[in-house]
Amino acid sequence: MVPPELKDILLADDSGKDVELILTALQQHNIANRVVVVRDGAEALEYLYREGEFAQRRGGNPAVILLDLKMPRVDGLEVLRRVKADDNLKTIPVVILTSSREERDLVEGYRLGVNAYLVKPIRFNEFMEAVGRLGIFWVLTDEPPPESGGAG
Amino acid sequence: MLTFGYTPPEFEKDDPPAVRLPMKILLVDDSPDNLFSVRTVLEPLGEELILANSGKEALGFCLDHDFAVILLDVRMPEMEGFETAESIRACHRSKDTPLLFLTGCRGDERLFPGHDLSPVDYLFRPVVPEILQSKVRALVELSRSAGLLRRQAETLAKAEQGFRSALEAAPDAMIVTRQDGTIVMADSRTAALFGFSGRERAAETAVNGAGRTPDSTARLRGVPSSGSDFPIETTSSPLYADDDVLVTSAIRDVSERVRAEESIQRLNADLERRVEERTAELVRSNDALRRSEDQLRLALDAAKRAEQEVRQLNRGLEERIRDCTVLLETANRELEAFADSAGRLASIVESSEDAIVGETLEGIITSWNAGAERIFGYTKDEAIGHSVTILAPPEGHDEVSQILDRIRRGERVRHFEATRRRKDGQRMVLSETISPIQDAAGRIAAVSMIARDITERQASEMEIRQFNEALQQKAHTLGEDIEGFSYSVSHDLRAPLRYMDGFLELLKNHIGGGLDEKGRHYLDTAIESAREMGVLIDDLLRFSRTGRGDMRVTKVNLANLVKQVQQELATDFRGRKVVWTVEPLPEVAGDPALLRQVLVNLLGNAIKYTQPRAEAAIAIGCREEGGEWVFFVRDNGVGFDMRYGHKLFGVFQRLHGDEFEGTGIGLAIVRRVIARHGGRTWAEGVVDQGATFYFSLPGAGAAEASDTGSSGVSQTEIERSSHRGSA
Repeated sequence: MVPPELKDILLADDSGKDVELILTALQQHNIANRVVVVRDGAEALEYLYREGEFAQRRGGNPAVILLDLKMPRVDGLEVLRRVKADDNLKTIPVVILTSSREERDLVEGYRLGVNAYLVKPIRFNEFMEAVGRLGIFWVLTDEPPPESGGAG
Repeated sequence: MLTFGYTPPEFEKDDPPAVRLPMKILLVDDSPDNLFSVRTVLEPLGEELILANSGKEALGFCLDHDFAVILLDVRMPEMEGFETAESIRACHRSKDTPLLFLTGCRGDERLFPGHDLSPVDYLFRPVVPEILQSKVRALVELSRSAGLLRRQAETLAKAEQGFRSALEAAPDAMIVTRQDGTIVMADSRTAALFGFSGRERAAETAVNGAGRTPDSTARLRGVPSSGSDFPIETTSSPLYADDDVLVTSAIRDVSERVRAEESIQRLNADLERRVEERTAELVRSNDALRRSEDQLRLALDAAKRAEQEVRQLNRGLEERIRDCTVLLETANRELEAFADSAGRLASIVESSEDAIVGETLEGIITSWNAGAERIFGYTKDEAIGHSVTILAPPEGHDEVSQILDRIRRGERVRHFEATRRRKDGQRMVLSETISPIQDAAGRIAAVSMIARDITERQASEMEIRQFNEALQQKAHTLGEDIEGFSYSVSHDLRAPLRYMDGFLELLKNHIGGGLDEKGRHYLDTAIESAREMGVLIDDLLRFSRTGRGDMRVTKVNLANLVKQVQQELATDFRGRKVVWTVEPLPEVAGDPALLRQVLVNLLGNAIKYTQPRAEAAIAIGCREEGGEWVFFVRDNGVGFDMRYGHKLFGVFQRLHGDEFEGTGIGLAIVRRVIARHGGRTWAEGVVDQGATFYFSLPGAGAAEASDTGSSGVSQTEIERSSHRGSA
């Protein structure tokens, strides 16, 4: 029996350290989906539109997009705006991950239709929990349980 | 037939009405004190009291006076009471006088005999005043009536005497009868008087008449054998014969006397009537006199009043004259002062730097001072008589006539800035105050204009405005800088901290088992420090956020806000006993999110610093003071030392050490938020007794106290038994 393909998780963050921590957190929560890491908004859009480097990528839309706000070239809010304006993409849950508690970011994010907002806590353990919850909610509820799909 | 009408003699009737004369009472006692006290008791009786100190003295008085009663002391040294009493009885004048013995010894009363007319009585000492009084009164009255009886008897005796002598002298008719009335003998006068000669008729007369009652006098009516009856008076007396008692009667015709008496009675009646008439007349004339007296008195009163009024009027007139004189003097002085001040005013007007211009209601210039000449360049002669429009540029003429319209309506135009034109055509900016001038009747009669050249002032104002704008721009830039700074702090400083914490945590997991205790301690301290720095940065950001951004001011119901914050903070005091006292709170104008932050910090502090208390008491209330709301949050916590109170609201200032959590940013945020709302913050505290934090918000009049929170003071006791809070 062929296990159903697990959808990708798209993680856009220009900070290697954050990426490392997030990946660790997801791993520790047994999220088995493949995590595609891009370093800015432009790459994220290339992935979503199968352009450039990602022209030949397999699979459909990602299960969830984890977006850092402050990124070079194209920032998180711009990616969010583009995703939510595209009929093809707008059903993808978008979670903004940011260290900012600035209100204007929050307001703008909600205005653009973000599905969740995670201010990265300074405490790693809290961060772990938050990432875990995110994964369970946005990845697992949308997909068959990982054990039925096997490890990716 | 002879019949006699009987009229008995009456004595008392003719007596004058009894006048109550005082009776004499003799008091005999060797003790002056006793005499005095008995006298005091008897004085109210109104009788005459005579005092004797001894039996001998008493006897002396008895020879000279008649006493109604004699009071005797039984025991006396020289002559004892009873001995004295014997002597008094022996004396003629006092033989019948009632005696009243006063004794201290029972048994004495049997020793002295009394008799009917001279009763004897005893009183035992101590004497009861009422009893003494009433006994003496009774004895006095007895004497009084005895005296009366005696006088009556004497009168009777006198009358008898008189009559007897009259009888003897009168030429009366005489008859002698037996006791059965048979006439034994009648003289010729009797026959003449009654008109009979026979024995039978005379005997009849005697039976019916005088002979039946010997030794008496009677007034009867004689009935003659013919003719009408007539009044007679008979006087009978017994005539002792051998073995019989005959009656001899003298009969007198008293017709003349009766007639005389009747005529006297008539005369008397007439006299009485006339006396009555006269009395009535007298009463009438008296009344008339009294009436005229009354009228006279009224007239006199009226005259007196009139006089008084005239006097008052005179006085009033004098006062008025005096007042007028004073007024006149004052007026004179004022006039002089006015003349002085008018002169001074004129020189003030003339020397004023401002242009002071008088105009008619139509705007024709009537006066012109030196200031006007200097500012506008026209001389007095050139200006007076011209319209004020010469002072305005052509485009301002309409405005000038509009202003005149307003003045004519009674309005005043103050500090009106207008462009004016000098004689040489140069333009300038003036500040004008234009006022209506009223005449004595209050009508608007003229216009005054005071104008000041503010061209220079305007220029400097412009400079200040520009400077202010520059400052604002700078402040704005600075604000943006701060915003950018805190944004970058938020992003750029928090991230490395997160990495430190994250990777230290990963490191700990990675090599956790292999570390000795010291190694774990180093690692934990590093992790902990990173976290502390993170909290500090978060607080700093929070603080910087409260000072930036626009305030969204709406009506905020503080009572509801307090409820929300209480619920929000519930986990902080879980397991503790907290007594909340929340007074009614008003609605205020403010930013709900910011004010919520204020309450979170203040209530959070109150909860935090009452932690050592078995029962925390937190009160929230509000007073209206001087046009602003003053709110307070009071707790019974650890309090603070007022010497360091000024540090409370500073950033990262803490008055307590590690025993209480916190970075010391909360009150700094409270102060900043309240300051942004235009209010103030302060605190009062006593170490170990509690603290009260106050903040004020302006405009108590703008919002009214809302009762949506609670009616009256509500006291809610929140007690949670489980889960003693670890925080």
